[in-house]
Formats: sequence, structure tokens, C-alpha cells
Amino acid sequence: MVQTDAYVMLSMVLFILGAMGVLLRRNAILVFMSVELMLNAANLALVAFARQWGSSDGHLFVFFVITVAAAEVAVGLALIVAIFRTKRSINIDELNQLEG
Amino acid sequence: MTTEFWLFVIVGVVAVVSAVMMLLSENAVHSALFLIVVMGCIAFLFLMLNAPFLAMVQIAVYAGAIMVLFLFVIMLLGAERLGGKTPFRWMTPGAMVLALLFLVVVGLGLGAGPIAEFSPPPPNPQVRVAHFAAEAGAVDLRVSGVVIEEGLEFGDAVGYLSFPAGDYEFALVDPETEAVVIAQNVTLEPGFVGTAIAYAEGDQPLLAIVPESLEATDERSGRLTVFNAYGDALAVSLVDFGSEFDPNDTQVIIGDIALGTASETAEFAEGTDLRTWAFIEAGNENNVLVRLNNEEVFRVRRGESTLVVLGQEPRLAGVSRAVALPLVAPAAPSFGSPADVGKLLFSRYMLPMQAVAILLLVAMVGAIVLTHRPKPSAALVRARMGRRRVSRPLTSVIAAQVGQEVTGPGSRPELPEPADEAAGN
Amino acid sequence: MESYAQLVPLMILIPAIGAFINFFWGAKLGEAWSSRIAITASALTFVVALLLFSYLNYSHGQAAIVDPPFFDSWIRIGDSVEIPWQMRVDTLSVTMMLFVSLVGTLIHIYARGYMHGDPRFSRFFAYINMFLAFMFILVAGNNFLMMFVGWEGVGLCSFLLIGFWFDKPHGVGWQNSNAAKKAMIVNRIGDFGMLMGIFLIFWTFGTLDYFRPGEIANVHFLEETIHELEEAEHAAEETAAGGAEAEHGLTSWPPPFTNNDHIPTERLGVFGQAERMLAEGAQVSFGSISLPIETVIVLITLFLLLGATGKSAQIPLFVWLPDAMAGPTPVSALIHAATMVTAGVYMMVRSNVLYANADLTSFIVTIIGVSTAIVAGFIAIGQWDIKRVLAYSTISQLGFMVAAVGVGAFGAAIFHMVTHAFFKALLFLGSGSVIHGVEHGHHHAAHHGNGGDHHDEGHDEEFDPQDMRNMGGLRRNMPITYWTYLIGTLALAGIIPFAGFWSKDEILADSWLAGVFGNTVLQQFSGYIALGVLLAAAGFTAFYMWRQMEMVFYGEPRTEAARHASESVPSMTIPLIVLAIFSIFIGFVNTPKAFLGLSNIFGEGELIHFLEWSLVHVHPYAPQGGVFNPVIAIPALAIGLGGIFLARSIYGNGKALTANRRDPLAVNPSTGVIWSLANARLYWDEFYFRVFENPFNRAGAFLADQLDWSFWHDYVHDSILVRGFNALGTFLSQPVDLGLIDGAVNGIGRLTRWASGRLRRVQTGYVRMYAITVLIGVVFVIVIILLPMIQAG
Repeated sequence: MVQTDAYVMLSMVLFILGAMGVLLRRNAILVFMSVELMLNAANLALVAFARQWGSSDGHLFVFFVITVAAAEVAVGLALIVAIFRTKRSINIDELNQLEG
Repeated sequence: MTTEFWLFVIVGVVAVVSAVMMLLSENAVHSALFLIVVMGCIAFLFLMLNAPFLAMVQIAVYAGAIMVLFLFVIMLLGAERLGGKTPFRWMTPGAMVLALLFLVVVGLGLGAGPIAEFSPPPPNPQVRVAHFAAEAGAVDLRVSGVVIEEGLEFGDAVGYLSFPAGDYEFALVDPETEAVVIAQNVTLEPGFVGTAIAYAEGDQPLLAIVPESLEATDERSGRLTVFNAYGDALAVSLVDFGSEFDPNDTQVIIGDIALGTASETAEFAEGTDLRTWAFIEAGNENNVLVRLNNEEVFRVRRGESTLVVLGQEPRLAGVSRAVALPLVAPAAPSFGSPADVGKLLFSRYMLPMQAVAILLLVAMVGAIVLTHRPKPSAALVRARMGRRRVSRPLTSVIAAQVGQEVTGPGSRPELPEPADEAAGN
Repeated sequence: MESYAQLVPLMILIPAIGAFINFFWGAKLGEAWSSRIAITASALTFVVALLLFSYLNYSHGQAAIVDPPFFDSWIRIGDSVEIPWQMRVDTLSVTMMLFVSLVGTLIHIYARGYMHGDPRFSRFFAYINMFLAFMFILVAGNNFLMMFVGWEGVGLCSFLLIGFWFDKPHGVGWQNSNAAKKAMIVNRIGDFGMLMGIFLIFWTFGTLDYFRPGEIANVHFLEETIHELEEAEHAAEETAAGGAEAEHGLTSWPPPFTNNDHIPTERLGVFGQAERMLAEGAQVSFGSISLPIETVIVLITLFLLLGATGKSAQIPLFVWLPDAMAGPTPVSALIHAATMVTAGVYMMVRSNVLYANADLTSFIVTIIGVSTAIVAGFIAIGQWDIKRVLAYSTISQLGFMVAAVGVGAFGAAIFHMVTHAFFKALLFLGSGSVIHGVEHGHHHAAHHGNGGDHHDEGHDEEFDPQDMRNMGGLRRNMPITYWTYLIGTLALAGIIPFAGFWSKDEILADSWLAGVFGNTVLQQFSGYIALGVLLAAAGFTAFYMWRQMEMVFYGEPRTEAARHASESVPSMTIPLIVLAIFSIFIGFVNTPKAFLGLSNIFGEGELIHFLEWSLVHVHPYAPQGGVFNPVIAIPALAIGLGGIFLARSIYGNGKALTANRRDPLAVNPSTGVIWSLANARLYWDEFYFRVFENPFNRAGAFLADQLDWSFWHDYVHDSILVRGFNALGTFLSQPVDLGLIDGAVNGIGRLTRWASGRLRRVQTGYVRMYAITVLIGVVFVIVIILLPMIQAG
């Protein structure tokens, strides 16, 4: 059985890659996808630990995460569409009007 | 280096590479596709982690729905190539540094810490008590003085009770005379699952603790255990008589169970015909104690663990007969199966599930609302096409005040009809 | 008969009611009715006085002490202080009441004519009725405190009446009210002495009553009289002439006790106790000091003397009387001639027991009396104002009375008081008539005379109708006034047979008796001094009175006003006539023994006999008292006549004024200085002003302006309190409140704004910024969580 460590390491790498994507890409959709990548990484870690602990609660959590991610993606993409209609651009560097 | 390990390595590499490609790709569609690959890898990993259900859900929902949604939006908005300078030049090195730091820390933590060695604490022991002591009538079950059940008849069993691990005194007490039928100190280890059976050896009532397993059974099979509580101090066997006609194809399923002992646990496929089974005196095929004819009572079902107790039921006038009573307990569903997830979801996590359902609903509605573009009213369209270019907000204000559109053909005042008769000709 | 004594409260009540009516309804009643009510009230008091007199005759001079009905007790404090409102009907008080009410009534009648047309006519009559009420309280009271009540009351009425014309224009009203103030204040100084005397009396004797009920005032006289009456009875029985009925009448005659021996000392009045204490040689303790009774009595009498000098205008407190002439003439006549000013003398006569036993005080009294008499007489010579002459004459005559008290001639003092009341009232009323006539003449001359030519008379304000230089030859135009005034002058000058001769001679004779038969050197000394100085004063009296006669009535009119003067209305002249009659005959109430058989007609020393029921000491030396002494009388008469002739020679035959309106004595170089001194009234008022008033006023002004206002109010209050408070307030408000508190509060606001201004830069609006921030946070948290694990591993 592959150790949980390995899975967690992999999850961490994916998570960091996703974080990099959030930080470095300017396309809003790419940012979103990176966020999804991060969520997946978290799911992986959850499932790995669920297997280690022998409880299905982890699976359930992943289930919820997936569901919430779906909802979030729906709303987020709707937002991006609405923003695109107004600004004709999805460069997040241009979406800085909510500043203080 | 097992297969599993290599499989893991390969899939992991694929996932990482795809993720990197996703980040680096200029084309948004390519990025989406790479992300789908990543998700697929993760689904595979779920399978390796004994989470079949989640793997399916991942594929279906995540890769199937969410990424499709992404692709739709990419198509809608155009996969733009964004150029130009960013105001955050320092972002890339900063992000790198951060990533490195993160990796290092977590790596160290993983390396140093015994993450893999953590194991869940064993659950509380679960015990059920069965009353097969023939001589005593209805008794009360008391555990360490606390009355658990009253009026426990012969052949009844209390449901599984969960106690914290420790020492307990199990006592069966005659309710009227307060005479203790059986009292025995039992030490319950953590993680113990079993049945305490009260039986009588001759005149002496005894309490036997029979450990059981409620683990997930194999696919489509049930578990069977036998306990001999027949008071006549016989060893019994559970045999399959096979056909009635052939006396030689008697098979011993479980043999030589002494009084007060339990047999090994065996698993049988679901639907095994038990009609030809019987309890016999060990070695003596002719002394049939009980036949398991009753199909409704004796069944092998998947996901069930059955403990058959052979007891001696007292009858009137000192005569007793042998009875076999099944104590059935549902086995746990296999880890990661839909049944397992579903069981949890619909018991303990009902409320969060409903909340998330509402969340989904709201998100759905919200997405519709956010992207809804109201159709411009006819008047507004006409106004846009009207001669005068008045700014739209001002138009609305004027309209609101005047009560009608000021621009457009509809706003022209009507002239009265010329009076042709009255005017002089 | 017996119950007539109970009428004495009416003496007070009737004038009080008259005053009350005139106060509240006088204006509505009008002149006629308000004067009628007042005159009736006054006349009724005379009637009551007559009834009281008849009672005394009936009771053989036995005094009655009357408690007014439904008046339980005046002052009662526990057991120690009991001062009842009791009235005493005895010979002395009835004598006083008689002449006060009679003269008062006549003056009321006169005032009706004099005050005619005055806007506050009824108020005047209310005042003089009120005065009568208080005067009767004074004389009828049975204790010193009642006397003091009356004392103060007449002082009040004097103030009100002197300043009656306070509203006259051109500063005259101001002068009038100043005169009233002066009278009040000077009297107050005397009242201080009076009060001290009363306090001492109370401390020494434990009571203020003159005599307690059942006490006999003059034991010796009573025993003598009983003896005489019994002898007369025997004589009558022996002769068996059916005429002499020993009419006793009085149920308690002879009285059960003929002396006071049965009464314990504590239950005696002041005088009874004094006599007993003197006999015992008692000591009076004042805390740690203990004084013999003689010394205490000297002290008491000295203090009472101070009061008398105030009320009776003696040196040094006489300065108010001349200024009091600013009041209407009836006021001058009633109050400042006949009645109020005699209150001091009455008080001393009432305390004859104390004065007779205080040699030192009696000497001082004599000195004061004679010096007053001579000084006032001297000043009178130099006065121009007709009323001022009379005022100083009054002071001088009061000096006579006080000197009489000093030598121990208490009876003579009362006798002179009675006669003086009549002829001085007559003179004052006469002067009022003269003044009225001259005023009418002035109006007549100014407005009807030379076709409105005002220059020879000057303006009304400048014309003084009271100035004798503006008079002259009035005997032709005002005959009644002239003849009555002449009678009054002769009476005052002491010309036989007018009243003044008898009373003045009585005083002189008693002074001689005191001088010859005095028990101590001091008594003899005072007697001789009194005799000598009073003779001289008598001469002065005659001189200045005849001077006045010459200036006013004889010669030629010196002004148009005098030429056109007319006689006064009958309401004014009739009282003059009545008073003139009295001035002639009143002296015969006390004819001395062995004089030309007059005693057969009028009795011998009847008045003094009458008084002896109440006064222990009436003559300085009883056995010889009351005998006509030609050795004294004839020189006195000669001096009087001499004064008259001297005055006639200087002022007569039209020489009353020199060509430039100056007194002949002023022009004469040998008498010029003296005369101007007299004219300047010996600079007495100026002296008082310089020595007392001015320093007092300056001290008061200093205390008020400097100490109180400048220092206390301005400096302390303003600088310290006000400014300090303001400074504190400013300090608390500005640095503390504004600076600290507001600063703190505003500072917090500013701090918040600054901080938020800085912090808002965090919201860049860039998602990436937020993301990296979150990520950093996440890493941070992970590190913290994993740190222990890393360290352990």
C-alpha cells in the first residue's frame, strides 16, 4: 500500500501548482481553473487520509467539496460572463475597481 | 516496489505534468483539456485509494460537468491571448519563493512526522446480550447495576450496546426475586465487537462472550457463526444433508462445536440454500437436533453477519427441545462503496447535505440571474433608434417624469382633426 | 367714683382711635370732619383726665394701679421677668395728663385753622392724636418700660411731625426732613442712656414697676395726712358745726396699711426697693464685680440723665430742638414746648427717690441744667427767626426745670413744667399767628399791591415770613395776637402776677433752700450755683423776649408784608385767648405760703401738696419748702423787669434794627463779637459736625466705599473670586477641556482616519494581490502547525 505521505506530497505539489496558476495567470478563466486544481489537490489529500483512518467521513467531505466547487464554478463563470459583457476583457489586472 | 507503487508514480507524474502544462499553455482550451487530464488522474488515484464511488463522482461531476462548463465559457468569451505588461513583475519570483517554501515545509513535516503511522483509535466495544439460559425465566439485564433491558425472554437478544472500554459486570437478574441468575465481570477491550450469550450448562448458568466481526463482507456473501448452547453437553456439528435421497453426500459445514463455544466464522455466498442444513450431534448423523428448514428465518444475505445459537428451550413438564435461533447483524458496507458513503450521508450528514443542496439551487439561480440580459423593451429599442440621441439615463428620467417617452414617434402630440363642416366653405 | 380710675385706658384708646380713623379715612372725611374727630378725641381725653382728678380727690390722693381689661400680661418670661401693662393713676400722672390734654386740645383747635388748605390735613391730625396717645402711655405707665414705649412713640411722632412738610420745593422739604432726622438721631443717643438705665434698674431691682399694687408711695406724707384728718375730725366733732362732714367716701380709708413694712423687698417697686436697699446698705453684684447700692443708683441716674438730655433738649443733646422748628407751629407748640420735651423732666421727677439719693448725679444734673439755661438764653439773644427764639427759650426753661430736679426741687420742677406748658404754647401759637399774618400780608402786598411789582418784596421763596427783620409794628394789625403774646412774654419773663413768676420763684427759692440747708457740700454748692446762674438766665429770658416784642410788634412795619398783615382767623385766636387766661391764673395753683393772703383764696402750695402723694421728695428741705421767700423773689422780679427795660432801651423806639438791617448789639463794638457768637449759636452744630458727624460720616464712607466696595466687592470679589473663577473656568475649558479632552477625542478620530488611510492601500483591487496575501497566510499557518512536528522529528 502506498504510504499516505506520498499521496499528501502529490496533493501538495498539485496544490502549489494551482496556487501558482492563481497568482501568475491573468486570464480569469485560467485563474478559475487553477482554483479547481487546488480543490482537487485537497480532495486527494482528503481521500488519502480517509483511507488511512478507515473512515468514510473523508469521502463525504470530498463529496461536499465537489458539490460546492460545482456551485462555485457556476456562479463564478456567470460572473465572468457578466463582467466580460461590460468590460470586454477578462484580464484580471483590469478588474481593479473595487479598490480602497 | 509493488505495482501499486509504480502505478502511483506514473499517474502522479502524468498529473503533475498536465498541471504544469495547464499553467503554461497559452490557449485556454488547451489548459482546460489539461485540467481534465489532471482530473482523470486524480480519479484514478481515488480508485487506488479504495474510493470507487468518489472516483466516479469525480469523473462525472468534475470532469464531466464542471470542465464542460468551463469549456462553454471559454468558447463564449473567446480564448484570448492576453499580452501586455503586468504591473506585478515581482509576482513570479515571489510566487516561486512561496511555493518552494511551502514545499519544503510540508516535505519536512511529512518526513519528520509520523503521518502515516497515525491510525484511528479503536472504536468503543459493542456488545449484545442474548439469553439462552433455559432455567431462568424472564430476566432483567443489568450492566454494572444499570438496568439495560427488562423482561428478557429466552431466545431474545438485546441490540448492540456501545460501552466505553473497561470492566463491567453483566448480570441477569430475576425481576421478582432479585435473585441473580448470572453475574459475571467482563472486560471489554476497545474495538471489541461481540455477543454475550447466557446459557446453562446443566444447572449452572454461564455467560459466554463470543467475538464477532461486523466488517464488510465480501461481495455477495454473508457471514455465519454458530454457538453451541445446547445444555446437554453435547458437541454439535452443522451439516448439510445434501439431498434427502443420498445419505452419503452429507457435508459437515462446521463440525464439533463444544458446549459453550462458538465456531469459526465462515462466509457463504448469498442465497445459499439452508434448507438441507441441520444441527446434529457431532459424529452422530442420526441425532438431528434442529433442521434449518425455515427459509424465512435462516437465510444468507449479503452484508449480514449471522450468529446461530443452538439453545435448549425449556418446555412444559421438564421437557426441552433444541432450537436454533439466528442473531442477525448487518455487516458494515465495504469501505468507499456507495453504500458506505450513502449510509453516512443520510444519517449523520443529512443537514449539511440539505444545505449544500440549497446552495446548489441558489448557485444555479444566481448564475441565471447574473447572466441574464434583459431584453430591451420595445420603447427602448425605438428610443435607441430615435432621432435624438439622448443619454439613456436622462431618457429614463424624463420618461418617468413626463409619463411617456419623449423621443420616438409615439410622443408626438396629436393634432385635432380639422373641422370640415363647421368651417366655412 | 371709685371706678373712675378704671377709665385710664381710655386716655390712650380715644386718641388712638382718632388717629386710626384719620389715617385710613381722613382724606375721604375732608378737613372739617377729620379735625372734628381729632379735636373731639383730644377733648375727651381732657374729660377723662378730669374724671381721674376727681377720683384722686375722692381717694385722698391714693394711687390706683389699673390693669386694662382683657390684657393679660405684657411681657412674661418664665418666673424671672414680669412686666405688665399697668397704668398708674396717681397725682403726678394725673397732673401731667391734665395739662397735656388741655393744652393739646387747644392746640388741636388752633391747628384746624393753621393747617387749613394743607393737602395732608387729616394726616396731620392723625399724627397729633397718635402723639397724644403715646404721651399718655408715657405718663400713665406704671413701669419704666411703658414709659419707654411712650418715649419712643412720642419720638416717632416728633419725627413725623417735624418732617411733615418734607415735600416743599426748593430744598425746603429736604431741610425739613433733615431736621426730623436730626431730632430722631439725637434722641436715639439719649435713648441709649435711657435703655442702659432701664437695664441697670432691672438688674438691680428685678423689676421695672414704680410701685406695686398695695404699695404706698409716700409713707411719711400719708401718715401726716391721716394724722391731720383725724385732728380735723376731732375738731369738727368738738365744734359740732354740722358742716364739716368727714366724708371719707373711699371704702378703704384710712388704708389698711400706712407703710410698706409688711411687703417683702422683692414685692416692692423700684423706688420702694431702692429705699430699703439704701437703708440696708445692700450690695449689687455684676458677675465678678459687686458694687454698693449707692454707686449703682448713681450709675442708673446718670444713664437716665443721658436719656433726659436727649428728650428734654439739654446740653449736650439739645441741638435738635432749634432745627425742629421746621415743623408746623402747632407741632412746635404741642411737642416741643409743652409736652414731649417735658418727658425727660417727668422721668427724673418720677425717679425722685433715686435722684435724691444720688448726690453726684444731682450735682451733674444741676450743672447741666443751669448751663443749658444760660447758654440757650444767650443764644436766643442773637436769633432772627421768631420761632427759633422761642425754641431756645424752651431749651432754657427746660434747663430751669432740670436744674430744679438737680437741687431736689422736684415739685417746683413740675410746677414750672405746668406753667411753662401754657405760656410757651401761647407764645408758639402766637408766633404762628404772626407768621400767618405776615404771610398773608406778603401775598396781599405782592399780588394786590403795587400792580404786580414784585421787586420790593423779592420772590416768595426769598421772603421769610418767620424772620423778625421782616416784621414790626404788628400790634396795630394783629391786636389779639399782640395782647396774648404780651401776656405770654410777661409770664415767661416771670413778672408778677403772671404764672411764670410763681413757678420760677419756686425754683429759685428751693435752690436757695438747697444751698443753705443741703446735707452735703455738693448739695449746697449745687444749690448756690443754681440760684446764681438761674437768676442770670432769668435776666436773659426777659431780655430776649422783650427784644422779640420790640422787633415784632412795636415800632413801624419794616416790610410791606408786615404792613399788610392781618389778624388770624378765630380758630387760631380763640385758643390764644384761652391760653392767655391760663397763663395769668395757672400760677395760683401753687401759691406759696404766707404771701399776701393769696393763700387764703387759692390754698397754699396746693399743687405741690397734691404731688406729694406721689413724690417722696418735693422740696429740697421740706419744712421750709413752699414758703415765700422775698429775699429771692424780689431780686428775681427786679432782674426780670431790668431785662425788659434794658431790651426796651436797646431795641425800643424804632431802634429794633439798624439802617442796614443789623441788630443794634451787633453794631455795637463792645457787644458785637458776643452778639455774633449768639447769632451763630455758639457754633454748637458746627462743633458737633466737626468732632462727631464728619469723622463718623467719613469713617462710614471709608468703610463703605473703600473697605466694602473697593476692597471687598471690587478687589476681593472681582479680582480673586470672579477673576479667579473665570481663570479657573478658562483653564478648565481651554487647555483641559478643549485641549485634553477634545484633543483626545478628536485625536482618536484623526488617528483612525490616518490609520484607515494607510490601511486602505491594502485594497488594491487586484485579485492577484489578494491571492498572494492569502497564500502567504496559508503558508504561514501551515508552518506554524507543522513546526512542532518538524522539531520533534
